[in-house]
Amino acid sequence: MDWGIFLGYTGVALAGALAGIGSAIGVSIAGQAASGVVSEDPDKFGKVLLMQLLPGTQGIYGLVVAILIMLKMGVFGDAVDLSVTDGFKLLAASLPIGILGLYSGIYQGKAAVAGIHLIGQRGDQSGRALTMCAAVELYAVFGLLVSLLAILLGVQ
Amino acid sequence: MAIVPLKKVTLLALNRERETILNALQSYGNLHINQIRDEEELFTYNFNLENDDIEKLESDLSDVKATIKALKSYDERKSEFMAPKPELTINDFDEILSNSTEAQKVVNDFLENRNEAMDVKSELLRIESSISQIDPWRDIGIDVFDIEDTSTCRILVGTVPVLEFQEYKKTIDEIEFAEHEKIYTDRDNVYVLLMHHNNGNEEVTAANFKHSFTKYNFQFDKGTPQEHVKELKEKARELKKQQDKLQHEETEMAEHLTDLEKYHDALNVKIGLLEQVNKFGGTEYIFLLEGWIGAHEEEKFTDIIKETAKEGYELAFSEAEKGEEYPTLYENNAAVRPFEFVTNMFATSKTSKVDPNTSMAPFFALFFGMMLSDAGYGIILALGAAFVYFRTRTSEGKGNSLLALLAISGVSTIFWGVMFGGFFGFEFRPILFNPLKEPILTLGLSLLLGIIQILYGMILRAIMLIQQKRVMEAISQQFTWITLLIGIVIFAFPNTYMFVGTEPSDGVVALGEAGKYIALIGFIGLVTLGGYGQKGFKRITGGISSLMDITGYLSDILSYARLFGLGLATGVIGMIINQMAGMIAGGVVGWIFAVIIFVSVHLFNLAINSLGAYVHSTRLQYVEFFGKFFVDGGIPFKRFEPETKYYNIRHN
Repeated sequence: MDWGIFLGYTGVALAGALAGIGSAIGVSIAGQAASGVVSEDPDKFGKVLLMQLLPGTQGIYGLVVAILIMLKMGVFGDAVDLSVTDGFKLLAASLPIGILGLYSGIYQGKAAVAGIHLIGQRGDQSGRALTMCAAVELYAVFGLLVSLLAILLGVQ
Repeated sequence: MAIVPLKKVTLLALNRERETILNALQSYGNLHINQIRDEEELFTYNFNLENDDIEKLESDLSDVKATIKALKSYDERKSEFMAPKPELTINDFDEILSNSTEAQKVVNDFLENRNEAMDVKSELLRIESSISQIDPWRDIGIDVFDIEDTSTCRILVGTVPVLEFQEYKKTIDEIEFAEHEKIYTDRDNVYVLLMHHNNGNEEVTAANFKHSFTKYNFQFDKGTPQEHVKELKEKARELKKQQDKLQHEETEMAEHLTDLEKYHDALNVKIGLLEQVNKFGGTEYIFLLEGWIGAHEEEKFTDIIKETAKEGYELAFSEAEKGEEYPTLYENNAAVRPFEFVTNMFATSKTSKVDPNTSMAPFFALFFGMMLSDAGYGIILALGAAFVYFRTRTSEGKGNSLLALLAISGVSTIFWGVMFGGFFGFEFRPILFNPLKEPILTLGLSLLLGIIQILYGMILRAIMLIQQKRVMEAISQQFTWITLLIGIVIFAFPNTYMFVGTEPSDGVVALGEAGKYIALIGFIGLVTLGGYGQKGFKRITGGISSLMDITGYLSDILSYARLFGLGLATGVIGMIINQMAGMIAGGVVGWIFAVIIFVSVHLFNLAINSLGAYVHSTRLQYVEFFGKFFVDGGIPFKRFEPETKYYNIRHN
């Protein structure tokens, strides 16, 4: 049993899946709010669509980290001999974006819902709604950054 | 490629020429009308007093809309696939309105028809409900007239629940003075004819109560139920015939759909014109119009007024006063114009000389292409969108901007597909490199493009600040950061070589050293000037705290990692589709299925990833790019032009 590779793949799964779940939930609840606003005022569709997509970032970051872990495991080229330590490192490195992506995706979704309601009430405030929602993303970026650094600098 | 400089127009003319003038202006189409009614202190005549016309027209319009909607299901006109809408001029619409009695008659007939149909329908429902009530009593065999108490006996009809009936039957049979006859049974009830001598009153009543006997009263006094049912069924038949007739008439009305649609648009145009009146100032005899036109249109506008305001007018043009807000009108070439669509969905930029579209357009197309990144998909998108665009545009060349945008983005996709070597999921020799084999390089490229766009945004902001004579702000906030960021990038560049496993050459190392100094300059600039505008101690802390913005910039740059993620995703899915199709291919049946899978799933991949590319490219423009310099809250330039649904306007 090649534990190193197994742990690596677990990391891939966690990074991709957890962050993706966070985004899925976030974008979904935002989409529900957006549908409500559009039902009252179809002209606001573009603005609320944009808000809805803001929590989608975490999933993309999770994808990026998953791909990079696979890179380090040699999936894209020559097979690499991955030690158990390295496998653990990759697994641990997947957690920042995974867990952070999960929670920040959900919470950014909630912020997006609030921003969408704001746009529903006052259509001219879309810029501010956007800014307030995007503020959550800073922490998702930190998660991405930590994961990236851990993978790129910590392994091999 | 810019924001159009505007001139303010003030027009005084006679009310009796108002409609002619407005007609011409509506046809001209390039005027933005200001709302001045509420602000004028002098000319506050209320035009609405003479304009119940608008209300009548609006109610006519909603009738027409309802008629068209209902008749659409009988529409048998053949239409060409993806043809442009037919065209009419504004004068045509005027004529249609004056000759609208025919169309109006159709609408009235339709509404009458509908009302009648509703009455018939509810009558039918009533009859059917009566029938279902009386029908069970069909076999009673006697005239209702005879169901009458005599001096010694009582006779009545009613129902007993099926489950109770056995018990009830036994009870009644035991009572000497009572007789019952079962008329009918259905799923829930047994219908019973009951006769008893007055002597048995108490017992029968008790039995009835115990077994839930419910008395039934016929709604009529004589005739057998059977006769009544027959009568009702006759009536129902008549009514159904009438229904069919009404339905048929409605179907025939569908022949007039073309005229109705013309009428619909004519009404819309008229209402749009009359509505503007609410923005004007005026008195009983004159009206005051204020608006904006492109500065270069001054002569053309004057000509129009000269032509239409024959009995006299006062016309003045002026530049915007210092600090006055005026609407934002973009003027761009054919390559950039479709992208105004993206900007307009976001907000209108406040009065300034910087046109966000010019810079946004190339970035948008570039990022879209990078995220869709398959040359084959790009070809389909570009050709498909271009085809529909050219097919559906008006004779004067106005087309759907979204289609044009997609066509241009499709070309960008082809470019990136060639760069990265992807064609319908197959890997070809890339001009640049294969993202799957060099993911770090691709990620680096994405971030680099992000840095470029962010720097560009900051430069734009600096330009805007300088235009407003806020030069120190430009230096202390924008140029310092620009210097710092460029310095950091250059400094970090040699260090990135390790990610791809090579060593930087000496020249590159030296460059990196230079970058350190550039960054230092920027850093010092920030610390010293960052607190510009604040007093005393805050000046220093302001500089240091403005350094904290680095997290914001970091977040922005990393956001561009999505170019890498989405681009890779499309490519990987494409490859997998081909692998799947390849596994099934083999033998005639296998190849057929393989082709089906190939075509359908690739189309699906194209659709989903195009949506993603569009959306995320848009989001990058809105959040990361516009966030650097865009000031919203501008007034959109709203053209006074006719709004039509079924026809396009031709000007001649």
